[in-house]
Amino acid sequence: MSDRSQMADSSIQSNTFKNNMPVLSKAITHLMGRLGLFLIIVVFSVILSFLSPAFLGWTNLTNVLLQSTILGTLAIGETFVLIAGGLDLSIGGVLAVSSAVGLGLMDTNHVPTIVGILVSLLIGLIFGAINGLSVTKLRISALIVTLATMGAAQGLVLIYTNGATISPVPDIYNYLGVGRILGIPVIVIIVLVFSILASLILNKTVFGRKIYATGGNEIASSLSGIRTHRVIFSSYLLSGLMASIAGILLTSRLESVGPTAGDGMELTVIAAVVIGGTSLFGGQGNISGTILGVILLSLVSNAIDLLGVPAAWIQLVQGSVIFLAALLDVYRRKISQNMT
Amino acid sequence: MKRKLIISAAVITLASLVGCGQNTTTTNTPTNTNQSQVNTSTNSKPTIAVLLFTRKFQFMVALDDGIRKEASKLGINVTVLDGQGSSQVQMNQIEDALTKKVSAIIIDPNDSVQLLPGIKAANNAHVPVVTVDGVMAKGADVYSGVLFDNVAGGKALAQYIGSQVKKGSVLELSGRPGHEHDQLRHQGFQDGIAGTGLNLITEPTNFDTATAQRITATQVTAHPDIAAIGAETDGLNPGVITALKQLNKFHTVGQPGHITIAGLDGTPDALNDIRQGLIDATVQQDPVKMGELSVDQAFAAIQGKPASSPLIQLPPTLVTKSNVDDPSLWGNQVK
Repeated sequence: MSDRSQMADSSIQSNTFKNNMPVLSKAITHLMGRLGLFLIIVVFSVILSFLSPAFLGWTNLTNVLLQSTILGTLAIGETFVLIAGGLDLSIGGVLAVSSAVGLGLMDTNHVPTIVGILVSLLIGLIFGAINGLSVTKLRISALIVTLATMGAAQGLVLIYTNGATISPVPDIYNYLGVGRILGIPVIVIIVLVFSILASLILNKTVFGRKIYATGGNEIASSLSGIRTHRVIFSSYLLSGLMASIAGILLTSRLESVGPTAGDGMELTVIAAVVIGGTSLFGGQGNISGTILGVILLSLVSNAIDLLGVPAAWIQLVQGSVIFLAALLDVYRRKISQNMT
Repeated sequence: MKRKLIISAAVITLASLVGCGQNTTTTNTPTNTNQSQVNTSTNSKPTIAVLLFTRKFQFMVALDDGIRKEASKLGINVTVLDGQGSSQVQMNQIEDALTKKVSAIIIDPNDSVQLLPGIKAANNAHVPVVTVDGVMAKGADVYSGVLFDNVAGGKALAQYIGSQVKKGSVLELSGRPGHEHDQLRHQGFQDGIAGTGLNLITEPTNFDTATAQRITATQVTAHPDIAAIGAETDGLNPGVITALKQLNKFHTVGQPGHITIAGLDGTPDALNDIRQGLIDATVQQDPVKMGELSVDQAFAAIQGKPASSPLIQLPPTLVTKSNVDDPSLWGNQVK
């Protein structure tokens, strides 16, 4: 809360001498804001490389990137929803149900691969539409709606899989799972492309501007002619779509889909997005921050694995590191604001 | 317009709730509430409430199957409920079962201590309780418990690995810290590895395939001498296989450079993996048999017979390529 009021203060301040501020220094401040999280990652990596000799190896670094892909895909969708002022808890469940039904259709009903993939994406879109309509038209709180659809999605997975793991996967999934281009895993390239596209949509399109405006102040945006319901609906649609894509990517990586797929991922994703600088109250955030947040959390898991943290301690260490990262991030943003 | 939407949403929700109710309840004979259910000399069928802590594993679904089959053979009605991995949900389910005046309760407890008050309530209502796939802590009366010998299972898994691999490290993928079965399996695994000279690396996976993949990839990168991987539940095997593929270290059984992979449970998927040479072995624990025995125990309790044994432990069976097609394996019985 206090963070938000400071934001408001600083925006008033910066407005007062906006005319004097050179474009260049604004750009530098902006860069500092971005670099901050990057610096945390660099420092963390340096410490880690001293603690574990295996860390800086190419194989381990590609492992970390690969482990970031699923979280990253989900986080891109979640970033849109959060910036537009909403919240989507259903992503883990949607990931599971869309990929299970898609692969199930291919394996047991022998539908062509492309049909299975389209059905997966369609299920993601349907869940996104239900979330979006419930929030905008029925005026149910996003937390409750997406909690309900999360439960419904997980329930559908149990009914559909009956507790079993679905496999095998078609060739295209195998290729996505292990394929490499110039030594870089295909799946990493795909998520990189998604990130760039998402970043362009947010920063360079009218739709992107509308998302920021709606999340920043829905009433003002609505009064100034933005069809805010449509914008919010679209953000949930996008999140559902990204969840189903994440499902396809996870299925490719595991060459199967099981009933525990996506369990508990939503909270890790939201943590990554918020650490990346997106506000839980809407109106602020960016994709590059989100991706850095995802990489930081993947590094934390990697560190825990490499350093052999005792099993009972893992969750405590994970929680503390997330808290610390969030704290450092608030501090860094304060500094970069004072500098303006 | 808005009101219509709300009403229709409410109707759909109600309808689905009613639908769910019908699915979970398999009994259709109304129980006679005036009569003590322990007495079955009347012609009304006894009803047993089966409270499973989750149905999220194929193992639990097979346990459910075993229970239903044996119950229909003995002419007993069963109501199977899913505890969703929560002691609180199971607590409510025990209370509901007592309100419905069931003849006996079979419970796969989420926790051996937290559910004691529920078991005590059943004791007070004179409804016999049989535990399956787990035990209760001291403090309440349980007629008998039917479970897998988890220590022996973990030990069999480790001993198989010890028979295949002579040097290097072994990666043990355990479940969740604090999970009872998992601790017992881990204990057995440690016992089995002790004295082999192999270096043991243990990592928890939360029983999650994706986590197993992450840990396998990281550990095999950090410890290139890992020669065998033991997963304490078969659901983790796909994570192990794909992680090794990611590192270009996956070779089928018998090929040079093959890393030994063995699981635990004996799921249909694991048996298929053994047939295809993707993994070496699995240690079976038989949920179908376990389910049947638990119903037999509950039936004996309803008839007022004394328990033959307070604890019935099922031994593990090692499954390798040589006996993978044995029709008595539960993985070959369920689809």
